[in-house]
Amino acid sequence: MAGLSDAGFQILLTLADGERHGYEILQALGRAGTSRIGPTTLYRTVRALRESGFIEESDQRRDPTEDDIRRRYYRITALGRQAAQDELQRLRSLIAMADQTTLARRSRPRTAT
Amino acid sequence: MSAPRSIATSRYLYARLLRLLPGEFRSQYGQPALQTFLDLLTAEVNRRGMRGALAVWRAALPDLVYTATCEYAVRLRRDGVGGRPPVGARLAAALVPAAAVLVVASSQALYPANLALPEYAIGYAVLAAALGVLAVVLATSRVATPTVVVCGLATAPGWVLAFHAGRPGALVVGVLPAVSLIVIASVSAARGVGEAVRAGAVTGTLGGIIVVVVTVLDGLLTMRSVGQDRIYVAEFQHSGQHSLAAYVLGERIFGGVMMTVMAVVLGTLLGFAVAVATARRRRARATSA
Repeated sequence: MAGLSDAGFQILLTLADGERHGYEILQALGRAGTSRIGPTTLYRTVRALRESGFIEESDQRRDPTEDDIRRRYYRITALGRQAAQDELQRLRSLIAMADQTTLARRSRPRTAT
Repeated sequence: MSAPRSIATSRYLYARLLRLLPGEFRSQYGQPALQTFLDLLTAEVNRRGMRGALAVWRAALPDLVYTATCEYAVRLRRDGVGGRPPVGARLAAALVPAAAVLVVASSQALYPANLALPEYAIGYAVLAAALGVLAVVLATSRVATPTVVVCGLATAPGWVLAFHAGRPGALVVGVLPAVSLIVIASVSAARGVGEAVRAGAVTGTLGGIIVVVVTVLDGLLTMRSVGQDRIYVAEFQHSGQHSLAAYVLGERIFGGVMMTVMAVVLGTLLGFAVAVATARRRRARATSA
């Protein structure tokens, strides 16, 4: 299985609950505040995800207007879902490991007594 | 500027800028990228007006440049392992022999006396045909990689300085950088003996043809002062020809051709030497490991 980039993982997360087109993916990333990427970087990542078999293009259109015809919708595949879950598990393990260190204890906010 | 007009202008500009991307990526994702840009722009213009449009452009421009750089870098890496070089490199390489044909033809149009002599006329025809074939080969084959073309073209300043100086020994000014550039091109292609030899030979060929262009152009530009050069005048009188200008150009054209042949041989030998040295170093490294 090919490696998953940070931007690729974030795009998989935005597609986890349903198919979206490019602008909707960027909006979701913007709302999460985790990453700000432009249209061409988005499609480079989309290409990499499609080549890895993590997402696929959907031929369904929610709104059959002229603008919607120009848009391309993408959905996550079973392989993509598995890759995202593996990455999520890896990040959880990392956080658990970080929580055991003095670094995490120092950064924890103090509660008022 | 009104909102619909600023969106229409931005659409036009962004669509033009997308041409910076390699054709393969553009044909696959150019239209969706344009649509996504328009969606972003329309939302921001409706929300914040011109300030929103500027914010979208401020993010879109670096994004476009970054993607174009990455995509071309990917293509360069891919071409370096046996693919076809980018069309820009192949065209730039093909332009070198094409320029030589143009310069030689122009020189004969200006000073046509030699064309009446069969040995010169046949020589020029053979030269033009050889350069034409070479231009087609460079434009269509895999030999004109970007590194080879850049190194070949980079020999030009050395030749200009060498021929402009016009003193004995000045040729070293052109030869030494040319040798270095041939070695650089061969080292960059030294994955196998074939690639290194080919890179050296093609860089040498391009450098040699540039000598033809430079020396003939220099002859045309300095034609008025040639009559004052005693050595040239003596050689011309000894040759039995009727036009000093045509004699000078003939000398320069065939002198340039000789230099090209020598450069091809030198390039091939240097490429081979680099390939052998690289193979030895790899063997030594493998043995020590």
